[in-house]
Amino acid sequence: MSTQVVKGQKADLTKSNPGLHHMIAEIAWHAPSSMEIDASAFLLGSEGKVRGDDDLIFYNNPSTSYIRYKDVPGQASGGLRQFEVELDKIPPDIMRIAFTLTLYDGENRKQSFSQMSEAHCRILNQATGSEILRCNLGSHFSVETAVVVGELYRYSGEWKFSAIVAGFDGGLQALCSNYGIEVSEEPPPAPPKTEMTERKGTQTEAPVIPVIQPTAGSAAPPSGRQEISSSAPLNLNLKKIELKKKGDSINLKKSAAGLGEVLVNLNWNQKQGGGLFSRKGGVDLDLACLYELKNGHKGVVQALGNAFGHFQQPPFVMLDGDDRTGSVTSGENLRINGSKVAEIQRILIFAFIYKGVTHWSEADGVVTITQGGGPDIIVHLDEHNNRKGMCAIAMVQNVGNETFSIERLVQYFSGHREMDQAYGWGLQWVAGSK
Amino acid sequence: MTISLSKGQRIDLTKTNPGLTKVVVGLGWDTNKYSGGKDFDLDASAFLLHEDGKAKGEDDFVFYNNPSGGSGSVTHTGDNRTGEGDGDDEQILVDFSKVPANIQRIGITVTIYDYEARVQNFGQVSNAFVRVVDASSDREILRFDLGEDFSTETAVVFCEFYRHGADWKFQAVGSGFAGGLSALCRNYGLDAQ
Repeated sequence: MSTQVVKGQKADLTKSNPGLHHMIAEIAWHAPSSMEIDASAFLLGSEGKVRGDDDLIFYNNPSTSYIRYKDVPGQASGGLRQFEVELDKIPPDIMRIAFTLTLYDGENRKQSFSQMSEAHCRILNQATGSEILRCNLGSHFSVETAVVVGELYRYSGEWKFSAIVAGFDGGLQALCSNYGIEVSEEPPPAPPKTEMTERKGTQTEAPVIPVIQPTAGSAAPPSGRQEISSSAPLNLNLKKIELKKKGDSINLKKSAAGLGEVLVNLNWNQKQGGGLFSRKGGVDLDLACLYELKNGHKGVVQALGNAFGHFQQPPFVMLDGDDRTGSVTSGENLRINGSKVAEIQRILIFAFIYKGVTHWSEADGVVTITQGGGPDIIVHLDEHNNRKGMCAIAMVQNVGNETFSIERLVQYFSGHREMDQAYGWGLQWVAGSK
Repeated sequence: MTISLSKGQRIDLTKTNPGLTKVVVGLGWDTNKYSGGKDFDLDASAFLLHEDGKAKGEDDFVFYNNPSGGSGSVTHTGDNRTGEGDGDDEQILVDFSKVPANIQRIGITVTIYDYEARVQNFGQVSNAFVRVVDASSDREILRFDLGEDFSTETAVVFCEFYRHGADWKFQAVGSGFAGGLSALCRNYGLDAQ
């Protein structure tokens, strides 16, 4: 039976559910699409502080051996995130896990969690799917741009849950400092692992990558922890890197495990309803790519003509399902198999308006390129050409058979053929339909 | 040296501290760690209890609107409405030598003011403590940290002083209740308006 808990309430988890070993902490919300909300989990030691950069689980560091971050797609006008936690595997020095929500750039955008509605948090038994407790986040928030939803904590040999439902108006930075992480907005003295290159020498402000260090509070750590806290400045990519100008380029960070999957997501706003002159039906954007493999093989991956590609086999690029309405907030996804980087020459990511009037300005599309361990790379389709239905977004190119560079294009074309010629692909084009 | 007590523990006061007559009962808590939300106003009160465990009238109940009771033996030093800063947030002074003979027990409580409208409870309060200081020397005699596991409670009995023969003893209680100060009043035999 599920327990409803209120702000400040604490509830037994394992004591009243002896079979609970594998649980899910779920946070879901409704919010305007202009709010960029992220969920994170802080893994905390006995002092209520993190021990190092691995102790923050979020989109750029999605899992460790006992906790996994999951973005559950398909939420209309909101988000759903899950953290799968294997209680028995939590190391004994982790006393507490805090589940939090942060608002990206809330201060500048004059947004706060008061604009979020119908948010809730649930604890589920992963094995049975049954709900153990639920906490409605209600209308508790006013100025907060970062909130602690709840904390899972050890108490007398059991795990309990505390519904905190409170936060800070200083965003992620205030939240981090609450949990012993100092986020410095200054660029680190040594270049970070992520290499930024600006090919055309544009004046773009260099993206700032925050350096995160344990705060001075942990001045005299116990001997065993010394190494962790005194190691080089922790390099957490809390920021998203935006490629703002044509020609901005970035190399993906290559970790020891290789590049892994590179996820390209296209999302756009669906402005429906509105006034007398509003356009019903909206816009259907399709995400697609041209590819060229090292062996000379070329082609297209797109929903049109059911050319969905393949992840494990050539072309090592695959398109997920097609969102015809834009109401699926996860948008459209293209997955590039980074472990096959050596077989890929280049990939041209593009979008086209399949149905609807070519109003790019209304669609307000955004492409997010995600790769395990690296920062999100964002390209806003914010230069518009409403007379042309196709937009070349980014060029992904092989760099030394080890990684990809990603270059912002945002160049509009009237169709496949014109774009193909502009980038010298050399495919034959015939009309098709899906 | 101060003695740290745990929940439920009882300890001699006047027997082990000969000459002790006046004590400062210091109570503290932390609340506003987070931004946003309503301010907390926590109030300390003392209930002077007779043989049957009940308070009998206004002189048996010391709180923000009645700062002195027990024929002047128990006084409240004043309402602190923010709980800010280190150290004691509110204090109650007890002069054991002047406590009326029919008072057997003194309950020291902390309650949350206006908790319903402000949607607050002791689950949102941390680092609550009570300490007993010898008023003549400022020496801290004992301290009880209430621990961190309060939940939806809105009233907490922090501790009780009680007579044991000719002496006074101290018990660390740390029990929480719903219903705030008015529920505590009813529990102790008083009809709060």
